[in-house]
Amino acid sequence: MLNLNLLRKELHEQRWVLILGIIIFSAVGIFCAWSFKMFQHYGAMLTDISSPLIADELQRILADYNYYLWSQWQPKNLLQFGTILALVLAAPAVAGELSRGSMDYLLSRPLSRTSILLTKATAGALILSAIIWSATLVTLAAASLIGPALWWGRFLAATALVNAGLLCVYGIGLLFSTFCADSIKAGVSAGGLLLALSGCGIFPATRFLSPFWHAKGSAYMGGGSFPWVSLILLLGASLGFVLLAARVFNQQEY
Amino acid sequence: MTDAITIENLTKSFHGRPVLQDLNLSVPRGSIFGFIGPNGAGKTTTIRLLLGLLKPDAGKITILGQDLRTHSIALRRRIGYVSEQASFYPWMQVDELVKFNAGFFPTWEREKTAHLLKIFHLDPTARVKELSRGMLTQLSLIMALSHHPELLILDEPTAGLDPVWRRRFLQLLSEETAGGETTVFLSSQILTDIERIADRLAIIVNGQIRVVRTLDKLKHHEKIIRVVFQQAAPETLLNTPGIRSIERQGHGYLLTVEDHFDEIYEALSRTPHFALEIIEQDLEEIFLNYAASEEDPHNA
Repeated sequence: MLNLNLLRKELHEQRWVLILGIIIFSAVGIFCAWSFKMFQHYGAMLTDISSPLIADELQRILADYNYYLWSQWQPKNLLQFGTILALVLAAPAVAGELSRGSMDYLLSRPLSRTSILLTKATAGALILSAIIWSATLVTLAAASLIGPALWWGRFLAATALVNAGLLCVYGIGLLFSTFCADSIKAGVSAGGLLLALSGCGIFPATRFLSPFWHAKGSAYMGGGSFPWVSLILLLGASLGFVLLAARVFNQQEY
Repeated sequence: MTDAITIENLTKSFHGRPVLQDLNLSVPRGSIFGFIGPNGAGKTTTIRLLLGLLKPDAGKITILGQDLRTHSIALRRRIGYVSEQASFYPWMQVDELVKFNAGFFPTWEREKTAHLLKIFHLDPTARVKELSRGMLTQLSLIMALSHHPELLILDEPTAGLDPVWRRRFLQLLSEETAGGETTVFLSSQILTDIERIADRLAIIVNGQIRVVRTLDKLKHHEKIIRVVFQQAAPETLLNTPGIRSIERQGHGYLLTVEDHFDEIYEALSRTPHFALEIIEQDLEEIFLNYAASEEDPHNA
């Protein structure tokens, strides 16, 4: 199903996204690991917080380096910047071929459309995952030099959740890339849908619809058990969106 | 031997507007087949259907003896394609693009690519984005030829090229297909290109094939006879099979004859007339005649 020739080309084409992604995400991660003392200093000044829930959360972040590092890295910077990165990778996957006029060339090669889409999806997923894991490992390495003993196991498991969440975002971006004639439209449309889904995460009744709520794994890092259901849901949704994108790509006439 | 391309009752519409209607066409193996028609006639749609880039609403396409629906991917390994506007990956170098393309074709011959690149002075280290339109078309042809295709499909490849590039392109095409092992299906609006290399052609107008002939037969058998009768025009004579269109000019008639020329001319010469002459046509005039007869029903 995968075409290695096309996979090599896709990885080669995205090599600068990979290199810059690792550098930028690692820099952000190192800052998160280093900024604990600064955060404690300024956080201690925040005495006038009316919400007891937020006050408790802040207290916990200020008191525990591991909890602080997780709260700043996985659900915040990695997930938020990772969402943008996933859309930057997914939106041009198909729409970019159309806008630069290379779609006819690609579709007239002896390859099935399913193979083209799955190969592109694999390349995007590999690059996205490589950036997530490289930057997380750099962050944890920096944190282990700076702070106290780390919850390595929990951090790595939480990274798997974020990775699955961002693959789901990538799948949504890829689906929109198959409908839209240009990458910007595809990225903005997918971003709109993701914004609506993230809104679902606010309300207890609808939060299971939000990939971001599942990807955060807050309860797990708060001491709970690993959310296998969330992980399976996110991976299933990612696969579902990619297969749906392949179906649309097969039916579209470009 | 089966034909290289057989199209049966092919129909295609876009948003309810028919573009091809019940199109039937056979392209013999080893021929250089010209496919001409005015803008919007359905040439590019036909080619995109042949490549499996579009799906037909109805009809069947057989290429090199295989059904396109069920053997689309295998067939694309045996086809070379040059599109109207060759667009590749601008960030690649020429040799990277060639290597990428070679990866899809088991029959790719690297020596042939190197030889053709040399002929056209194409620098393998140049970026695709730095190439002119003419160079891109040449590169497209080189890549279409390097895997020894049995069928070469060219969609207006010389449109927009200056005469020097056009001449080079056609020369290479003629040389590379001289052995007759490759069938060439060439769509073009530049009729001199068709005249230069094609041995057979089809004219498509409004999504329907108007004529399929060898170039020789079309040019030598399709003639216009101008006749001025002494009395009323004999209806039976004007309805003779072989007369494709009749145009009245004052007391005279212009008869476009596509078949049975000798019989028709002899019958006309036996009828009392003031004037009877044969007007020779070149390919452009023949083409314009077909295109005009479709646009103006009074001319038919």
